[in-house]
Amino acid sequence: MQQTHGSIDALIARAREESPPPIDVTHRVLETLRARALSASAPLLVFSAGSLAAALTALAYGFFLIQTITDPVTALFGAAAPF
Amino acid sequence: MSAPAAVRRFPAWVMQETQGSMNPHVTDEDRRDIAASLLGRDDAFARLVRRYQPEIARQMLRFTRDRVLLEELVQEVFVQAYLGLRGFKGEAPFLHWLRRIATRVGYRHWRNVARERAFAGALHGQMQPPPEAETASPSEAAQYLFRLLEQLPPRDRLVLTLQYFEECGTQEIAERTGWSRTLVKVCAFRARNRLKRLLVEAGISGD
Repeated sequence: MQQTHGSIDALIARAREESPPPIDVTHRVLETLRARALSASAPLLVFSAGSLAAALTALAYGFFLIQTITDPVTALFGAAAPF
Repeated sequence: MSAPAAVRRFPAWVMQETQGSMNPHVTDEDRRDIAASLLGRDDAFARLVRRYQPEIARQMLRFTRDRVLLEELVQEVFVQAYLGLRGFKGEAPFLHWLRRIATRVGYRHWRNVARERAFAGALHGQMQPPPEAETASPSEAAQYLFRLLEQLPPRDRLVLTLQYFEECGTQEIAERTGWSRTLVKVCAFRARNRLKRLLVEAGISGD
């Protein structure tokens, strides 16, 4: 401490003796970190869910298409059509 | 709590110690808990928080007089510490590293408060005469000095707070703030002059 006022110097020395109130932030810190970890993985989860939905749709459509193409009865009905 | 990708790899100093070259700055229990925290063990990080929160709370008390805010700031220090744990090089005790984070968290808080005040156009009231140092409680003395230094710009306030309350020298202030020694010296000189002016304006006698 240098070049301060004498009365302030004494107050500073007194203030240094102050003790902080007892606090415990352990649980709050861990909760915050968990919440951050979850929010960090949320976009990835949304992307994964979107990809899965698109893949299932494509699979269902592909299955229907293959059924249509390979089913001989479809061609028979096609040939028997009046127009 | 799963370890973030950034902390999954051990820093070099942890690896060196597992190979037998001990780091003189970091205690065994800190090293164990840091290594376990890097693996995502939340019980280990909880031990670090419990070990150091009284010291960090003491430091953060210089940045706020509000109990709720004090808890928030201490919490923020440890959250930042966890997120940057891989950056701890073990070149100084863990508490020194935490103190650097605490200084930055506190300074950021002051800057936010100063910005809000500037936006709201808040004015400071006339300073009361200081309490008698012999009869004042430490809390009263700290409260008065907090109000006094509050009138300085955040940068000046930080330098004086570290100098007066934490008894830091120029080098330590530079390390804690990340500023150059020259900048710290200039700030300290300017801050002391501003403080003297404030004291004169408040009608508190000069040297």
